[in-house]
Amino acid sequence: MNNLQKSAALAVALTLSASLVAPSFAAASAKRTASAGIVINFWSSGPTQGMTAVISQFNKMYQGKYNVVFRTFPYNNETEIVNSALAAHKGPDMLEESLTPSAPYAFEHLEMPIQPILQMGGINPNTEFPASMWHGTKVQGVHYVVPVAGLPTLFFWNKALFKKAGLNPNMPPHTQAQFVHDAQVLTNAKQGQWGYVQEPAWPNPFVYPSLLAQFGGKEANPATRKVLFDTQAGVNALTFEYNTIYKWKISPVNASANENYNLFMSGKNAMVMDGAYQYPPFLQRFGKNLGVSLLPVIGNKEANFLGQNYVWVFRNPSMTTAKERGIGLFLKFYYGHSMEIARAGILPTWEPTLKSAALKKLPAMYQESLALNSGVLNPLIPNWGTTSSTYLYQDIDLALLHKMTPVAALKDAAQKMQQEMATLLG
Amino acid sequence: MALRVQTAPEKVVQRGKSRRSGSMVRIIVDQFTSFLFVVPFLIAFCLFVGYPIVFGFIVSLNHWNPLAGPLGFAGWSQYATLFNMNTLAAQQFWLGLKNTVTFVIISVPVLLVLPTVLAYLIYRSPFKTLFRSIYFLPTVLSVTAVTSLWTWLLQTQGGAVNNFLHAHIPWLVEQPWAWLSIDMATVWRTLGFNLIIVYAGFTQLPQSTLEAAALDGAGAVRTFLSIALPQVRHVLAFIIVTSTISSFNLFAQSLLMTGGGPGSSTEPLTMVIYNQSFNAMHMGSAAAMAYLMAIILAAISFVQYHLTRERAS
Repeated sequence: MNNLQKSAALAVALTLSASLVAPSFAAASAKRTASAGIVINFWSSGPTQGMTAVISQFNKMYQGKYNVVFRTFPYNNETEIVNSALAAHKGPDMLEESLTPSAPYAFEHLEMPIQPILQMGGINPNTEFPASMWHGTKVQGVHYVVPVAGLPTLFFWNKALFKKAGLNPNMPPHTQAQFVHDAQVLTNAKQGQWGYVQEPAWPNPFVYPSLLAQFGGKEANPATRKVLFDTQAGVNALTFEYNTIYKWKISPVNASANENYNLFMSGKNAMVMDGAYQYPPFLQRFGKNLGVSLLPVIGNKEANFLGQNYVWVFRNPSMTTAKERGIGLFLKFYYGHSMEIARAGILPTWEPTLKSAALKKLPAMYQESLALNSGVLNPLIPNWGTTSSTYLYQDIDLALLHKMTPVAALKDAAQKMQQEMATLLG
Repeated sequence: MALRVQTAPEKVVQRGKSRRSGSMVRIIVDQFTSFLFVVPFLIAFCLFVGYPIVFGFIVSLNHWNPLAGPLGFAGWSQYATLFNMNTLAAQQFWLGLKNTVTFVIISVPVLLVLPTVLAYLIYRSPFKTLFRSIYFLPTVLSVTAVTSLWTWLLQTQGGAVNNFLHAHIPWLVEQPWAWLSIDMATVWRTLGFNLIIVYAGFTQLPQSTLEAAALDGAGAVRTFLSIALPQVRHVLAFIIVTSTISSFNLFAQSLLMTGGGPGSSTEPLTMVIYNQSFNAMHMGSAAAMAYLMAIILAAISFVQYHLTRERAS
């Protein structure tokens, strides 16, 4: 190797070494030079329609005072991303996520009580948030989270298929009997035409808790950590799902993940129970032929599971009273502009907007706002509904595949989850 | 001042001394330069491999919450828990291991035999470059893209495969179809990599031996079995070990294609560890599981390597 080659190789080696250590210095120096008012780091894995526009308006209004830096990341990776950042003391000031992932942080005292911050922003949570989304969100007697978006479970139907089957396209089923009747009329198994598709996996975390609540049951008691889904109400809810496949035969056997969606989109499935997040793609596909309403009453009363997004504030070293005030002001600003969020397709959680005439002009959004009245949340147990209830959905899966009876499946899941409860935080 | 004139031998000795010291300096500079060349790797290795290995072991000896850090020294108790079948952690660990071993058993033979046969066919084919490229193509795709594609193809009601077969096979929701589906997607994606390695082995076959075999009347199959395969046995041993390790690390295919179902029958050990660490937040227990898995994997690889080496020799 001649001297020139050796020098070049040395330079490459040194550059590579430097590149491994340089980013940390660069990050430190970037931190020192940031000076655009008080920076509020806001991370979100939730729906972001309309959010970016509202944030940029806020930043413009409070230029030099506050600067909300918005970062989104995939929902599936949120736990790793946020927990790694928190462990490295580089976490966000505010996080938007579904409700139950907030619980571990609250139990570890990593969140700030939210009511003083709301007060600084001039927000009265008792009157300005829907009751179904504010009550039942305390951890050890303290509110740590505020609702920012609702995703009720809705009933969607294909009006063209209803018409073709001789049913009134503007009259969705309201009771279990009507639902089964309509589904039977709409089903032609030989031609692969289904009235309803009961999937073992998603969207059952929306459907099963809805049916459970309709039969008067609860998933669990967060205060005692007692699992309750194996009661008669739970059995009734799962038996209904099971019967759609094996008794009434209105749903195909062995449906794969996403088939209720795929078959609905291809006109092979007439009715869907799922979260409101399906409204935009369904509307785009079917236009005026899409029907949207509250869930039929399969059980004894109206109820639907509320998918949700909440915001909470981390107790981190950079938190000051001024920053808390900034967060309060931002939240107030966000809620004040929540009609923009509604127009972007997200159900706001701000009572003045929910009761406004402008919202009533958006038909699906109005249905969603009505669903808030009978909405139920997941029990506030760490990661319930996302991961800590995995055993429940694994056993429901086996029941819907005809490998276990509904009673045995729920009993087995309850036994495992009761054991799991003892190991969770709090 | 008396001038001292150096004699010729003195000059030689001095020149020798300075040459020696010069070469010493050169040796030191050369060695230091060589060392500098490995510094980037060394830094990366220490940061991303060495440190996590040591830190992971420390975590496994503690009750560790990712949010709160260490919650107390646990000693070997988290390892012991994995052998107490009354605990959920042990049940999950051994079920995950059983599922993983099932996958290894059904995937490794296919990942060995299929690429070997195809590599030999390509080696004998006039369109070597074309076929190598075609088979290698899926390897460059991300596992997410591959699993999405296969999930779409294998839907029970409206999937392209069932439509083509005029069948109603529950590929993703019933056993043994769920394992078969995961295996198909995995083989489709990783076959090309193994194929290229075996193909490289075939290119080293001595032409004279092949010609001699042809003169002796050996057909393509006999040549493959009696000449080609024995010559690439070390490559095949390497494929067995690496395929076993990569199959042990099954994660994304199960997560994205079956969600670990039906029930938890396709939930591999890596997914159990992931859930234990990031969802249940039992980082210490998860680290103990990971270490036990590493020990099991190392033992299997050791046995495999020595068995195949002994058979080869």
